[in-house]
Amino acid sequence: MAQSFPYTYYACDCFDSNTTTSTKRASQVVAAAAATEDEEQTFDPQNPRSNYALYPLEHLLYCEDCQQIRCPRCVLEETLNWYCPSCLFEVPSSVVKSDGNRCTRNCFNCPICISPLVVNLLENADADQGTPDRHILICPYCHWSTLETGVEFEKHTGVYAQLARIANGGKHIPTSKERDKERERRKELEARQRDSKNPLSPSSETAAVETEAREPPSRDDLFSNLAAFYKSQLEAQTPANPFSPGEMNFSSPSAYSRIMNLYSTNTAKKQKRVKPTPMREAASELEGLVIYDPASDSAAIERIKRDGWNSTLSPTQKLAQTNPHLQFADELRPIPTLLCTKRSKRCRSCRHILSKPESKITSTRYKIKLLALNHIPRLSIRALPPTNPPIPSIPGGSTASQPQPFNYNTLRSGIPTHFLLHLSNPLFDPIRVTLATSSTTPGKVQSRVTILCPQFDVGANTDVWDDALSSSPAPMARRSTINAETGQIEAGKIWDKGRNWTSVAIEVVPGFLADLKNVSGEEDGLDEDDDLLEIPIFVRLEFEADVHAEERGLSDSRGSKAERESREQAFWTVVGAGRIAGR
Amino acid sequence: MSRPAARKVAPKGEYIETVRNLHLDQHPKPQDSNISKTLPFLTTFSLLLVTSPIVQPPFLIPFQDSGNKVSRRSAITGTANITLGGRTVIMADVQLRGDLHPTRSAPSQSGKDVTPTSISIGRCTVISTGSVVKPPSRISRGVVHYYPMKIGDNVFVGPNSTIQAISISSHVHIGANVVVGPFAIIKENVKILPRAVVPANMVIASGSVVGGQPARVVGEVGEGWGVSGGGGLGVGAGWGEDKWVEGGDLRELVRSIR
Ligand SMILES: [Zn+2]
Ligand SMILES: [Zn+2]
Ligand SMILES: [Zn+2]
Ligand SMILES: [Zn+2]
Repeated sequence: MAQSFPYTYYACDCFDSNTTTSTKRASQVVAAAAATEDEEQTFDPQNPRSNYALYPLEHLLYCEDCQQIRCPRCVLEETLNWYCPSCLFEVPSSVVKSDGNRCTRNCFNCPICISPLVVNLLENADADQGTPDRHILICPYCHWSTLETGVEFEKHTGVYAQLARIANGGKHIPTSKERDKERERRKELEARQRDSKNPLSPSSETAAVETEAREPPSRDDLFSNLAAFYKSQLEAQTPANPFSPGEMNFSSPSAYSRIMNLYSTNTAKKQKRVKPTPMREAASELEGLVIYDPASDSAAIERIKRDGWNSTLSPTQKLAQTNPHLQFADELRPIPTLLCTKRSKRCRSCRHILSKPESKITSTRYKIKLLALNHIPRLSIRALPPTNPPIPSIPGGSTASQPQPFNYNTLRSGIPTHFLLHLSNPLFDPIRVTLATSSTTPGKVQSRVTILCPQFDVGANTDVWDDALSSSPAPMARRSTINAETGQIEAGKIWDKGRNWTSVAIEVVPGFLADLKNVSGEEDGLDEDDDLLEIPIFVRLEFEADVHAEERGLSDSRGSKAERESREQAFWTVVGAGRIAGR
Repeated sequence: MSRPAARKVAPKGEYIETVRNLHLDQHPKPQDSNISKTLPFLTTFSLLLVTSPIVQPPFLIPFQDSGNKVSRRSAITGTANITLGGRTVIMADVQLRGDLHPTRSAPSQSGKDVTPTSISIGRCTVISTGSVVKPPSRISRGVVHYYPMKIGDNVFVGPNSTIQAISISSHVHIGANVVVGPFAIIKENVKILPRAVVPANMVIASGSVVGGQPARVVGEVGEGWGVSGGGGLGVGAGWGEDKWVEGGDLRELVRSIR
């Protein structure tokens, strides 16, 4: 994890607890509940699955109806609109459907390094003599440009449309209409050749010669051929389709089932209803069939021999291309920028909206935003300063005059280290908190952990001014201190508290990395991040709240009676306290 | 550090508190001839002191609380071309290149020469140690033209970063050792991870997390970006780090820097 220490992640138990399976049969729910009871054990942050359950607090939402944390896994997203992250123009959903999820203006990313490309004007020495301006796309980061693939533009706007017409090397890319025409022409030609010659005479040879002379069909050619072939097949099956005249209708259920029929064995399902006659598969190049040609492979090998690996592409570069089957750098095309979305989020179990941004692209405001951090206490960990609380240091802001900041990256094995757990309460009611953790951390490196005061109260998040106005300050009882002689911290007492926060001490004895070598008998039994000191802490809250606390804002008039109910909330957190230094 | 022998009584500590603007907007300037040049350290220093409450010129608002904190060890050039919005911190070894200002003079209404602004920084923004803030430039017909840079409110620029953006909106958190290339546009609520290199001309849409070399969008900031838990002030009082969150209101952070 790239996060700097210390950090806190919150676990959403939506996967394990099956809270979202309200539609499941009761027996299943019971079985699932029994299963979770069995698995009631320490949350293991090093379990690979934990990666999908842990989130920083600011990424979590809260469903007030379910009274539960909602993470990206247990919300439903609904796209409000699409926009280009580069030119910040909104793209209507109809355009997204027809043109795909790419910006169709001037936004492109570098096919080499992914940085955004800029349109540059080439120096035009003969501008006076009427030579038209030439523009190129160039990468400001790695200096790749479309000059390398022989593509230039006449105008600096509408680059997407211009690029769609220019192949690498400056050749013209036929439009779909031109493709259709060309296909018809060649079909007719073939048909004529077949008719005119005796079928037994070696006419196929001349045809072969003719195809040899032309370039192998591009991916787009093959796609349009195949699409046209399927279209003709569909039309042959359903001669009159009043709803989609001329439009190919792959998405209709009947067409889909017919296409799928090609691939399913006939004996698999004997249905009573009349099966649609299976369609013929493409049988020639003009129908979109491409036959593997070993010559292309040997040509590629020859080329790698000649130009070296540098002319080939990395998997990332290939996958970023619209055509992922490219092999060489001169085939690269600028990548049209992928669109982004604004999305609203709903609770997966009760379907209430949890977050809804304003739909305007330029707006960063939300119409609805139910954040977990307004309902769940913020837990943070920090090394206990050896002396008085230091001047709050900010990253990198430390100067020579400030004390040496605690180095979280070199925790020493076997040396008891004290940290402070700080819990601040966002709720308007005081809470009683119980913290729990296992005595040793899960994972290969076992560190001993003791929370010195696992149960404590945290004050309500009243207005700052309430606090100031109430004359009697909270009695500062039960403060813990460090025993000057032994260096021990008194157990059972809180460390410090304020209006809506309390801190308690936690003692950690980091485990030994070296021990592992002996135990496992291998050279090095440690994986990456095994030296992380991540402490799973179970947090349980109890508090009394108004029954309709969440509606307080809306219906304040009838809320005077203030019915109270006791509530409980529990969740796992993982605090990253640092990294254990190797010996 | 041995301080230059200032002509005026300097307040104690690393930071000099200034009033709202470094740029003495719309007012006659005392040292007009020096200002647009690259000022040596001492001159900068004394210029800053002019704004200290002791020698308060009558046209400056003696509003100490909204003062900016400018380190004595920062290297600010072209002070007249820089505006600071208030409660903004410029740390030690920061270079603010106000001397690189637009040369194309805009016609002013009053007929007087208007000092061109080269760097304008909003409120509660923190520029950390060792960072360089330099307006972007373009060469046209062999002449270098600088373009004014705008940085919004509550922007945190991590240590040893180089910023050449044309605009950075509010609530942006830039990590340590980041390079933001010329003419980059960073919209609101963006987080730039440490060591990222934002290529020239890149537009970073609001709500993005970017990282890498070159920087690319690697995620989105959560809905809770910049929201300090517990609603407003006072959370974690007495605990420096907790009083501010990335992308949030940096007022508390600014207050804690001294
Ligand atoms: Zn979840
Ligand atoms: Zn775009
Ligand atoms: Zn590039
Ligand atoms: Zn719900």
